Amino acid sequence: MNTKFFSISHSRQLITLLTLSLFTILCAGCFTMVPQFRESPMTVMPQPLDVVLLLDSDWSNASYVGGPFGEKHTYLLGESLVKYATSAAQKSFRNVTVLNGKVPGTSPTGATVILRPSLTRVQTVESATTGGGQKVIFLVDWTITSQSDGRILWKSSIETEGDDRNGHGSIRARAREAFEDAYQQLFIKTVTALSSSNLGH
Amino acid sequence: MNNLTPSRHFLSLPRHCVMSFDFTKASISCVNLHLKKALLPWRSWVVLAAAFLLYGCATPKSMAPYTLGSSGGHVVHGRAGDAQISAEIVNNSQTLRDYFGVSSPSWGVLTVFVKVENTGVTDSLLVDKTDMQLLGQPKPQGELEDPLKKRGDVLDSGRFAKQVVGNTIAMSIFAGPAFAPFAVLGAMDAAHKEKSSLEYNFMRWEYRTTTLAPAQSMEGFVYFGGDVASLPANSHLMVTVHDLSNRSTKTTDILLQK
Repeated sequence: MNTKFFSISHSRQLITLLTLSLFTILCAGCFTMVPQFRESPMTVMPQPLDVVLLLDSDWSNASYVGGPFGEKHTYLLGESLVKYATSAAQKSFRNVTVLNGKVPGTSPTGATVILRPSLTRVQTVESATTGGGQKVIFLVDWTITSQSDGRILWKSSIETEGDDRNGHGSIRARAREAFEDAYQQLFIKTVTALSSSNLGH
Repeated sequence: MNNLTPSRHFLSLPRHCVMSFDFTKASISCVNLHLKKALLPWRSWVVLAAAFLLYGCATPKSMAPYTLGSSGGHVVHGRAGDAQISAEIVNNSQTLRDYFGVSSPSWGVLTVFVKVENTGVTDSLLVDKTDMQLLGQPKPQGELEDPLKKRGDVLDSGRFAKQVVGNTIAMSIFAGPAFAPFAVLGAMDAAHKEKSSLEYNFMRWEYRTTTLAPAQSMEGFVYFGGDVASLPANSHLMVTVHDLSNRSTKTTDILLQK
């Protein structure tokens, strides 16, 4: 009887052990993160143009969910995307008015063009082994349209890739580093592209 | 428990484990037995570690950007105003494997490599990817395809199932039936990594919509629904070019060749 009792006890212990192991694999890696945007130092001559930067709710509330099966890695991107878009626009144009929501009927500032970013795709990639690195790829469409008739004046898809340069730390730390690197690269590419649009000349 | 005789070799499972129809109980008994003997035989840990390391091998392959005509396809040309457009159906299995990780050219996405050059001297041009269309194919095959979604469907089917079954059998034999769930999880993780790697490749090589100043060019892959085998002989790639300086729009049809 005792033997049976201990046998069951051991079985229960094993079930608990296996359950905990599975739980650890499935859920231990779940996290929610807000990768931060930091403006990179750049010296560019802003174009002599007043623009309205239009940020819709898809942009301001953007998020990305990744992670292996059973793990949910949630990245809240909206806050940093707003900062990135605002900084990039202010760096590239003389005067920027930021508006949230729909296209205004008339520009509140007399601006002649509307600048609008759109997040086309985000993708994270995990590398070969468990000790490997993380990559993040961003694809952002920037469109400049005429305030008067909505005609497209300039459009560019800007793609950038960020990675964890050190390759150290937890998955969470590496993912944060990869996202923040991607933001920096995105900022530099965007300012370079917007500055070369030559709309103000 | 008393009727379980410890095996002399950890790979030969006790009779009880093999004969039992209750998989859970059998698994637990086997693990109990192994645990009693030496917590877990060292070979089990080696198998587990090797399995988890191998599952992760889904690194995107480093490839130089594709160049027009490099896989031996027919390069065709067209012109719309100042825009010189070149296109090639990329159907070569090795190229598809190298760039996208797809081994078969008939998996439901037709990859066309497109190059657009602004040969003018004053005007800026815009060739939007979403304005490209494949004519001669019944819709929706001729429309732009999102390979990320398509690839997801492919991954979810037979290949994943085969991997799960194979891994489960291997794990059951070498590490014990109780570790079969780990094999399933490993296969799921591998499938996820492979999928994210492929998605990454599709994004990386895709044609980017960009305003082209004079003398600038843009090239990349455009993805359509359908496959080369079912592509009619008279299929045309329709490309719309917007001249942003003089506000005109021109369209050209290029006859594609398989």
